[in-house]
Amino acid sequence: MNERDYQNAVRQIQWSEAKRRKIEEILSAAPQSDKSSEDAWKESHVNPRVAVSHSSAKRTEVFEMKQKKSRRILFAGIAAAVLATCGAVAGIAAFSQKKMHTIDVTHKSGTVLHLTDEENVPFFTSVYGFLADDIYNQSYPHSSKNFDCRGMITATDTGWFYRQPRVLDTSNDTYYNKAAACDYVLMYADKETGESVPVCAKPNCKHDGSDSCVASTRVYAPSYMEYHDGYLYTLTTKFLHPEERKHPEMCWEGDSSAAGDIKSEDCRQVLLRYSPDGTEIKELYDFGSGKGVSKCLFHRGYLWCFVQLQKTGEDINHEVTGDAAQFISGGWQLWGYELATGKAVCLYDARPDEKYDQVNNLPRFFTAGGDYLYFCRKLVDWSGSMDSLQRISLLDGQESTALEYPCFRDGVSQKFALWQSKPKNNMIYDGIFDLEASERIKPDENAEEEIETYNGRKIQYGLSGLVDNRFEYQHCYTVDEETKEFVDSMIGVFEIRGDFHKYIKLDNTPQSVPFLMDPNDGFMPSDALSGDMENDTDFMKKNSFLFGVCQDNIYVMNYCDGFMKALKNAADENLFELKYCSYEDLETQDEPEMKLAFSYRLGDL
Amino acid sequence: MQCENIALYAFQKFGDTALQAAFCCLGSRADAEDVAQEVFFALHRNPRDFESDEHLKAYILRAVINRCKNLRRSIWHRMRISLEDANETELAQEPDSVKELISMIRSLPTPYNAVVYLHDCEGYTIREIAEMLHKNENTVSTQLRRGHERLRMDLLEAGALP
Repeated sequence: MNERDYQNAVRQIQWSEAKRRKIEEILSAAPQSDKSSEDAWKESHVNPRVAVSHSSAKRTEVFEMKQKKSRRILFAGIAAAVLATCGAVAGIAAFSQKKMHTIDVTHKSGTVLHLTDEENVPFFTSVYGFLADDIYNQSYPHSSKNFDCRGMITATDTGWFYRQPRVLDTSNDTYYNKAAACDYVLMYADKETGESVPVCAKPNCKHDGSDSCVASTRVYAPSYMEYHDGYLYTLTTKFLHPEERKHPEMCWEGDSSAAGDIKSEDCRQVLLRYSPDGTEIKELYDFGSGKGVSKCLFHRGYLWCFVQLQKTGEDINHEVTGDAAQFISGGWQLWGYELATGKAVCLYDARPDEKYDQVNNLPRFFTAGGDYLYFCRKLVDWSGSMDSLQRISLLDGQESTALEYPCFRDGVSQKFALWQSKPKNNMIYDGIFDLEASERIKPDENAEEEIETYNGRKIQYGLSGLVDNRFEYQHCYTVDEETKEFVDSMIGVFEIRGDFHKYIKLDNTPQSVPFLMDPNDGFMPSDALSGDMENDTDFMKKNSFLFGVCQDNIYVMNYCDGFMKALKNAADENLFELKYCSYEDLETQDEPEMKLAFSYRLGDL
Repeated sequence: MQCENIALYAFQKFGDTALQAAFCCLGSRADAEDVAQEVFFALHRNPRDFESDEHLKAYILRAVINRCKNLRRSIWHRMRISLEDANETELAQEPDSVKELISMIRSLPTPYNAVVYLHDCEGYTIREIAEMLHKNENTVSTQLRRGHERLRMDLLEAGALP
């Protein structure tokens, strides 16, 4: 087949007259909702395969239709909360409960699971270290964030649940814009209206942190939350002696600045369920004391979560890895809470043995697919550490190694595990593992290895590793070579196999003083600040960070940080903004923009 | 460019082009119809303005190719291809030249197919393809060269070339 034959063969591909007429007929009608045109086509189309929605585009459209339906329902519920009408009619009953097929499996260990056919629910895939103290403290100790948002936002079909600090801790007028421990309010932001309201329907409630306020987290400090099937679930720390609590996340031994005098025995990990209209909060399960609940997800009718078993002990430093442990782990467990019955089962129990030390070794990353739960494990023995992608079968409870490669940062999405054996500017993964197919995928041989310039300036690649089912995202920026001043900030979107897709420009404006970036490592040089707090009080900057991917949206977080004095004076600035870009915009717009989901200033409430 | 019903206009003007582009990326008439019609339905639901027919055509082709890449990437599609290979009934209805085309398309990755189609069939230059697909010109050039090379090798193996 030469070029002419090729062209001739292609020209033979044409619409049949019957199909052409039917499509024209549909297109001739006035543009209507997604559903009408699609249904019209399905009804009229002679090819039965089309009736089976199998393209990603169709799935998206069906999803969007569901969104619109549930958006109305959920917003009705939230509106009821605003009006403080406890008997809100648009409550949880409005959410349709899915009818699932269930299969029962019995493991050799005797564990019985009732697995539905419900697949993994999309959840946030967060950037490694985002807003966490660790990444800042390592490279930029002056700007510890202290309001860790990982797991603190969960997307619904119609908006977002998030927690908002109620008061700002001004007791220490230093670099830290620290939210008072435990004093958060659970909020809901509606995507359509842009309004945010506390998730509390108590009449006349001021949401001032009192225990009667549903939205208040003074009683329960949420450490993780997930919206699923019409309810908001939180895995949270319940303090047995609330008056002593000082840290919202965990009860840690040996760190008096964070945990005060709280011992692991003094707090319990519990699973809570909120009605989205703020009328009800229910404690579903108590995991017991001495346990720290970590990542969780919904899959096959269960809420799965890792639980770290804590032991009282002294701080230790691992001889080989140098990892510091703030408490001694007694191992970890994988628990499943069955949503239909409320029963919890321990699917997997990993305790330290003679060979492996599992100090602070809770599995990283957590995702699910089909009959498996996947996680990344780091085994440490005295010769060093070894990373691998493990999976646990729901059918027999057996753990096996899916992949003997280190997973790069948060390089696990719902579908892929990624790693770099030869880092190339943190950009292209040469290891791609398809979780669904259980096979390794080769990167595109022809993928551009490096995008070098943007607006004429050399691009630096910053945080990376955020992936979804199609794209990998990089936080990119450019630096003026002469002044070393930070200039552009954008998200580089790459296809999983390595091809560059496009950039999303970020609103990232340096404030007061230029955000000086070291072009070698991408962080502020240590001498950028004098260290003299009195003289540096004007320092403040606005940053954007790639935050997460969930339900066909990509999110970035804008925030300001710096010295308290500067932050207090920045009345016109929102200190915290969540922005998002939909997949549709990413596909159809040449220069997609991030849209505001919600914003607040610390201490607004 | 003023048009009362841009989707209908686009379909009448570039309906076959979209179908051909999708077919050249996927190697399946049914999938191609599926993808192509979705592009026009999407435009019908969300009409937009275009500067010219060329702009409209480029938009349609880009949308088609993006959707093809999505579909071809999916595990569902990859699994189904093997079943279709065994099913000769669909192929039997096609003329020999189209069968040969299908075989050729399925031997190439989607990006190569898209670039070869846009260049050989639609006559776009490498620069135009690069702009349309948001790729580096060098990438497009390399994909086109490798696409042609691989096609040539396939044809050599098949004995179609001396």
